[in-house]
Order: sequence, then C-alpha cells, then structure tokens
Amino acid sequence: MRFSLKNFRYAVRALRRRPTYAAVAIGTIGLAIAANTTMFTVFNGVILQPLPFRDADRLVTIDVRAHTGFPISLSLPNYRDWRDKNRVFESFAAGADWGMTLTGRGPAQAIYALAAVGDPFGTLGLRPHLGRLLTPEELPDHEGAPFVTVISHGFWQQHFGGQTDVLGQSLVLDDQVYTIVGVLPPDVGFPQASMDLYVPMGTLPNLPWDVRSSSFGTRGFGRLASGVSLETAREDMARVGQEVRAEAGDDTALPELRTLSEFIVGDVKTPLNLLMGAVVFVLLIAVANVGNLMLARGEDRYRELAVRGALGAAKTDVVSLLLAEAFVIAIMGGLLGAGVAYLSVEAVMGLLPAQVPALLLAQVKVSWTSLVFALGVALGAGVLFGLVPAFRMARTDLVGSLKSGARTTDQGRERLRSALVVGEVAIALVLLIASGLMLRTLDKLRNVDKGFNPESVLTASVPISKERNATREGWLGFYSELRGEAAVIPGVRSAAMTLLLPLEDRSWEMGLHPEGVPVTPETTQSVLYNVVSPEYFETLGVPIIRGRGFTSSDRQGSNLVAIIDETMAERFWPDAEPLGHQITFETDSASTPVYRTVVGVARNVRHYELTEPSRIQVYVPFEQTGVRWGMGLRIALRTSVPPSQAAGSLREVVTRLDPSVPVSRLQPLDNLVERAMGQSTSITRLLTAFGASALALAALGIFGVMSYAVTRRQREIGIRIALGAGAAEVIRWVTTRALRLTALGVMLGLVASVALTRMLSGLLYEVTPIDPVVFAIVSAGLASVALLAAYLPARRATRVDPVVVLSEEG
Amino acid sequence: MIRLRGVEKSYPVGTGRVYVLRQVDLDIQNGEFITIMGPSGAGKSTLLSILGMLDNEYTGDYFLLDQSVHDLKPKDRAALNKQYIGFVFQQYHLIDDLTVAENLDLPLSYRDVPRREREAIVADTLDRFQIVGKKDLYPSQLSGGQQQLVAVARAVVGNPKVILADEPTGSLHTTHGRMIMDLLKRLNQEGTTIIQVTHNEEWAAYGNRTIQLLDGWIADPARVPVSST
Ligand SMILES: Nc1ncnc2c1ncn2[C@@H]1O[C@H](COP(=O)(O)OP(=O)(O)O)[C@@H](O)[C@H]1O
Ligand SMILES: [Mg+2]
Repeated sequence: MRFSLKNFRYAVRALRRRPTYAAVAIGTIGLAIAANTTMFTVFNGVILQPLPFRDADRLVTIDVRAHTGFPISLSLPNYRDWRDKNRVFESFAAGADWGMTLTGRGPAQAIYALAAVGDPFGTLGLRPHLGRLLTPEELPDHEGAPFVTVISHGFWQQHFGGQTDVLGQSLVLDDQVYTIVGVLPPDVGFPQASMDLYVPMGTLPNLPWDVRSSSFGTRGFGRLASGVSLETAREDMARVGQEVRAEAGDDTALPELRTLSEFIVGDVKTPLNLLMGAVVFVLLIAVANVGNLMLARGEDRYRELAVRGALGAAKTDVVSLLLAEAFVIAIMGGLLGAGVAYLSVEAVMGLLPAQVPALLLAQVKVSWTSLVFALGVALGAGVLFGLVPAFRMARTDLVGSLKSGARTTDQGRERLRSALVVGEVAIALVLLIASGLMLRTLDKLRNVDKGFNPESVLTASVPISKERNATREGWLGFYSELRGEAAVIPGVRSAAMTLLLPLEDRSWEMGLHPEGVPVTPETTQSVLYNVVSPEYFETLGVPIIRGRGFTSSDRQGSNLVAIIDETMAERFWPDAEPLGHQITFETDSASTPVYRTVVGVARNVRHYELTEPSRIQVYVPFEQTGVRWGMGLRIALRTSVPPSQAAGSLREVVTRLDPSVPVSRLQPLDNLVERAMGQSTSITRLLTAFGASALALAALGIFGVMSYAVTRRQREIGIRIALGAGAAEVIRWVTTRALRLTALGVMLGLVASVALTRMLSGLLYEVTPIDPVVFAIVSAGLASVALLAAYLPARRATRVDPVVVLSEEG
Repeated sequence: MIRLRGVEKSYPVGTGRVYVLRQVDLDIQNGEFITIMGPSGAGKSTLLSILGMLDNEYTGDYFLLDQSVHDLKPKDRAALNKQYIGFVFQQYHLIDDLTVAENLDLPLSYRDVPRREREAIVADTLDRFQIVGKKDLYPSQLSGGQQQLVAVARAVVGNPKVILADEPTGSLHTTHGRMIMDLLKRLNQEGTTIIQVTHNEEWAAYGNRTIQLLDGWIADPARVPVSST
C-alpha cells in the first residue's frame, strides 16, 4: 500500500469541497477526542503521574490498627519504637493536622497547620522555595522544640504578597510567636498542598507524649531504603509491631503499611477509572458514526473509484486513497480535540469530586503527553473508521459497476451500517443507564432521612483563645454569652453550641460502658460523643423520640444526664425502656468512671456518611462536660431568612465579644450535605454529560442510517405511495425500521448493562445496579430519541414523488 | 365516470415551460376498456399519473364520479385514490423484501381493512389468480410474467373501480403478455374500468376505444383511424 502525499492532498481537497460532511465527521471525532483527552489529562495527573515527591514510589504511610480492630492514629511512644526498631526505612516522620488561630495580622483567623516530628521534608524530598525547611533537630519527639515555621507557597502569597523579606518575620499562632524560616514551592505540601504551614509538634502544649494508647490524629510516613520492597517492609513492620506489643502489652496497636500514593489518591481511583471507561465508550460511538459517514461517502465515490480502477489503479491504491481521507479527518479531529481539551480541562476539574486531593489536581495540566494522547487516539480511531469502509469498498467489483451503470445495491454495506448503529445504541444505553443509576442514587441521597434538617441553618467554627479556655467560667461564659447574643440576631430563630456537626468530617469518640458492665478495655464500645447546648436538637432539627431534650437546668452540680440515639437504645435495651439507665464514657480527674442517666433518645443522625446511619452517638449537655472544648466548638443558627444573610451579624457579634476569636468555616449546614454528596454529584454530572453526548451521537447515527435507507429505498416508498400509503403509513414504515434497529441495540445494551453496571455498585446508594425503573425509563427514553431521529428522514420519505421514482428505469 | 376538461401539464425548463399535456379533454364511462397509445415521451404515463391522482400539479378540471378531484384536499384525494384506483406498472414494482402474499396484503393494509378480512381477501385473490403455490415466494424467485400477474393481482386486491396499467406487458414475452391481457379483459368484463398504455396493436385491440397522444395533444379522432373491437 502506498501512502503518497498526493493522496493526502487529494483527501484535503475532497473534504474542502464537502464542508458539511467534513465538519460533521471532524466535529464528531474531535469532540469525542476532546472528552477523552480531557479525562486522560485528569487521569494522568491524578492516577498515572507519580506524587510530586522525590522517588515517590519509595514513600509509604503507616496506618495504625488498635487492638479492638478500629483504625486509630499514631501515638508518640509507638512512633518512637516503630522508628527505632525497623530495618527498612531510610527516613521517618509523622505529623498531625492542627487547627491554629493566627492573630496580629488583621482579624483573628483559623489556619491549618501540620504539627511535625522527625524528618518530613527530607522524607518527602522537598526543597525550599525560599529560606530553608525544618530539620530533624528542630522536630524532636518531645516538648521543647524551637518556635520556627515553614509556610506554604499559597500562604506566602496570600499573607505576604510573595515578598522575599518574609524570612525572619514572625507569626502569632495560638498566642505563641513563631519565626518563619522558609517557604515551600507551589503546589506541594503534606498531606495537602493546601496546608497553610508546618510547625514542630514539640511547640504544642500538653500533648500525650508518653501515652501509648493516645490517638490525636498523628499519621506516620517514611521513605523505604533503596531496594526494599513494600512486601519486605510490611513483614518487617509486622515484626516490629509484635516486638513492641510483647514489651508494652496486648492492647498495643499494630502498624500497617500502605504506599503514600494509595493513601493520597484514595477513593478517587474508582470513579476516575469509571469516568475514563465511560469516555472511551463515547469515543467508540463517535468512531462508529464517522465510519458510517464514510460508508455513505464511499457510495458517492463509487463512480470515481470505478474510473480509477478502470484506469489501472490497484485495489490497494483505492484503499490507501480512502484511508488518506480517514487520516485527514482523524488528525484534524485530534487537533480539534486537543484544543478543546486545553480549553475545557479547567472546567472539568471544577466538576471533579472535592475528594480529589489538591496535591494531585495541581499535577493536572494539558501537556505534550495530552497532545500525543489525542493524536494517538485520533490515529487509532482513524484506522478503525477508515479501514472498514475502505476494505468493503475494495472488495466490491468496481469495474463491473461501471459497466452496468447501475447504482449499487450493496446489501452488505447496509447491514454494516445498521450493525454500527445497533452498536452505538447499545453503548449509549449502557452510559445512560449508568448515569440513570447515579441520578437515582443522588435522588435517594437527597431524600435520605438524615436525622437532622439542614435547611436554613448557618454554622461556624468559633474557637476561643487559650486564656479564655483555661477556666470553666472563661469558656462557658463566652459561649453562653455568644449563644445568647446570636439567638437575638434578626432572622435567627434559635442558636446552639455544639462540639460536632453532622457530616463535617470531624468526630470525637469515647469508650462506652452501660451500667453493670465492668469498665475494661475489652468491654469498650466506641461511641460518637457530642457536647451540645440545650437548643441543639431544636436548632439542627434532630427529633427527640423518647424522653426529653436538655434544658437549662441540666447544669454543673445537677444530676448528670445524657441523650442517646436510636441505635444505642436498640442495641443496649432492645425490649426495655432505655430512659433512666446509667451509662459511662468519661472519667473524672481520678480516672474513675462518671455515670450519667439517659433522659432522652434522639433520632439517628448521619454523621460520618450520608449513606450510613452513624454509629452509636451520645449527647452531653455542655454545662456538664468535664473537658473544656473551647478550641473546637461550633455555633449553629436556625434562621427564618436565607442562612447566609445572618453571617455578617454573627461575625459582628463574635468580634464585639472577643476580637481574638476567628470566625471560620462559616457556611450553611446544607453545604456539608452537598459536600457529602459531592462525589456522587460530580460522577453523576460527568457521566450524564458523557451519556448525553453518547445519546446525541447515537441519534445522529440513526438519523444518518435512516436518511440513507430512505434515499436508497425511494422506489419502494414510491410504490407504497402509489398503492395508497398515506404520509402516516410512510412515516410509520421508516420509523418502524429505525425502531427495529433501536430495539436490537437496546436489547444488546441491556445485556451489556447487566454485566457492566455491577462496577458501579460501590457508588450506588439504595439502588441496585440492575434497577428495573432506570432500565425501563432509559430504554424508553432512548427509543423515543431514536424515533425523533428517524422522524426527519421519515418526513422526507413522505415527499418521495412516486411519479418520478417509478418512471426511472430499473 | 371520468371527465377531464382542458387538462394541461408543464414543467419549467430554462426560462420557459415545456408542455407535456395540452388541452386534454377526455370522457371515460364506467366499464370501458381504454387504450392509450402514442410515441415515447407523448405524455401517456403523465396522463395516467394524473388519472391515478399521483400527480396533482396540473391545470384544468378533473372530475371522478362528479367529484372535482382538482379541488380536493390532498387527504381526500388520497382517500379517493384508495377507494377507486389500482395501478399496474411496466416494471411490476413489487417490493423485493415482501413475499407474494405480503405484496398483495400491502394495499389492504393501507385501507383500514381488518386483519381477518385482509387474510381472506388475499387468500381469495391468490386463488383467483392461481398463484396460491407462490404465495410465500419472493418476487426475485418468480418469472417476469408471474411477477406481473402478482402486480395485477395486487392492483385489484383493493377492489378498485379503475385499473391504470402503464405498459403492463412491456417487459413480457408474448405468451405472458397475452395471459396478462386476458386477465385485464376478464376484469373488465367483471365490471372494472381499465385504462391501459401500450405500444402493441394486438393488445390495443383488447380495448373498446383507443386514444392517441402526440406531443401531449389528444390526436383528432377524425384524422386518426380508431381501431375498435
Ligand atoms: N420532471 C420532469 N421534468 C421535465 N420533463 C419531464 C419530467 N417528467 C417527464 N417529463 C417529460 O414529459 C414528457 C412525457 O413523459 P411521459 O408521460 O413519461 O411519456 P410517455 O409515458 O408517453 O413516454 C417526456 O417528454 C418527459 O421527458
Ligand atoms: Mg411512459
């Protein structure tokens, strides 16, 4: 086969003379490639690219499993022992997310810091953008570290406008003065690029440095020595864990290793794989469509190709001529696709689940790889949609058709076209069913009984300073006053203080024991522990289904009370009255259990996830808590106006009461629900967009094939009209043919869906992957669209003039 | 039964118009067997299309059973066509993908005949034309004569008052041609009005009256010898 330049020049000229055909073909393939390139660019940045750390494949993170089986965080004694006893790590570090309050630079602000020990920067292989990073000597595993900090590039830009004189300046964090010694490069950080700054853990007060069972959010990570496999490392850490347990006791937690990339990429892998698969489906449909267009175009070229054959062109020459046209379309489509991808990748990133870490999103860039991908896919597609018609064409007897002068009635070609359309319909159906299942999931999620009413609730974090938190009067006084003032803001119906908000990704657990059960680690049940003001249930709309809520008389000194949730009531007292029973989950200063009386049962609240009821949750009145929670309390306002309208007044009230208290996370409770649905929403949006493209392409395919069939069957249509067929009958005849193809496609698609939607099941909620409602609605919808697509050619068929077509010879 | 007055048909060509039918006046009585003759291009097929209401782009008046066809709405015209007209073509124009029986059923399917009745009519027709044995064959499996036989059968299956046959024997050998002509004659004797186009003098003689068309004009009967039976 020869590919002469002449063939390509000829193909370009031929396409320019048929602008509509060229535009449809190039546009179809171009948009499919745009979708593929965009998704690939995202996929490449998030999944395929190594993390932006030196030799990232040697980085691992350490999960900690408590003897009870629950995942917990790394305690400092375990950190020390695991670091010292292992033989596989080259370097080792740990860090805990730490919310801090920045003062002295405008209004008080909440910022996110990583409190670090060991050698995090060396382990990750990070280099400073400015100044220097923190050394292992500055990050000791005990109190007494220097007050130095490294700030992120983003924080530097935001607070210092990128000025280089930032080095040596100081920041007041939680009332301590830290000196800035360095700035990180853009888009890196741990565990998130969005982390504001890094401080030595040894600068924080009152940490349980020597409590082996403590768990306050520390995560360990390390760099494996070169040549050490993950397997070897796992074995070694298992040995280390057992050794430490042998020395420190059976309730010592054990380490489990995971690659850092797995930890950071996390759950977004499944949805991204899925979306990548979906977009490949769209490409397949586009290829089938362009293949169909080219078959039709081959029809036009019959005479020309026959003449070429008669003049001595070999079949391979004819094939290469046809392929040249396919390649020209493919390359133009590839360039168009890469261009559109370049413009749209930003927008698609906005549609991605919020769960995709910013660290990875920063790696998503349209690059040469994207362009190579686009052109590679384009050429592959070109071969597919070019070869099929080329070989079909080359197989037919060109010279014979010239002699007879008859129009070819190549049944095979029509069958091939129909088969392509059936395939398109099947693929489109699979995609539409997938998006239908997701839409239904979203609907279920939206309507799930969350146990609270998120509408018209404004929430905010209002942490107080250490001094205020130092005394009971200080923190209770402030929050009581704040709550009272907030409750009388115009448009506010009620105001409550609470330690936890549902779906905020923040929790506090305690070990629970009911009365009569000995308080030992073995009998512990972990419960979600919330500290609330009496107005909490009313404000959040959590129904009290038995007993009573808290009142202002549940004070210090009065009878200690608790409210439990339905789950706990059922689990502990399945057939009995839960009210009046005693439970304990706290200890007093002398470590003896503090018992409380159950006075009410609240509806289960979806706390961790929207899809599952919370584990056991208990509520304690905030005037009766032994711990001072002033660093982490939230305020919630139920409003009669749109919640955001109360935001300004809330800020004013807080600032008036204490200007050192930063108001952050100011958002309607709805936001938390939206965020919990974020992954589903985003997958649904993208899948639906792909499904809609698939539907449009399939409709175009049906339109093309039916137009072609109508043209080819003018004579038959003419006869039918002459025999008395009216417009309705002709339309019915054409649409029935389209429906037959569609039905076949739908049937294939249903079978394929049954096989494929199982892959979605992890993302569905209360919807089975073969949900009959979705299957039925989508099938019917697709059939309706197919009917519509066939209607235009059918209308054209009614205008066939029997006098003209029947007088043609043949 | 049929009355044409001053029917003219023309096509735009270049800046002017070319006339295909000129000043056609024609009266056809119920039960007649009319032969239209004339050289190729004379307008014979055009005239049949107008009579069969397939072609409505003409001037002049066309009355069918005192209904003025030219004033009818397309829908009513189509209804009239279904009720009164059956077509036979030179190229048979059977539908390749349908069997003989299905081809016969086709006109009925367009005429709101209940399915039961349709089956009975098709069976009767197959019987009457002695093609029961061929009912499940496709047109391509039949000879030309058999195909035209089926085409005639299809034309009468809807029980039309008028059969318009445009060179029905044009593609047939003499024996087959005679068979078709005998068939048309018999239908005529049973009461169907037949209007046929032919180039064959022998077949023309089957009719009771011949109309000569020349360049769209009906030739003056006084100057053209009329053959009649
Ligand atoms: N669409 C058309 N445009 C222009 N002329 C036409 C058209 N259709 C038919 N004619 C012309 O009308 C004349 C009559 O055609 P036709 O009725 O088929 O003749 P006949 O059947 O007598 O051979 C012919 O000269 C033919 O060329
Ligand atoms: Mg003719």
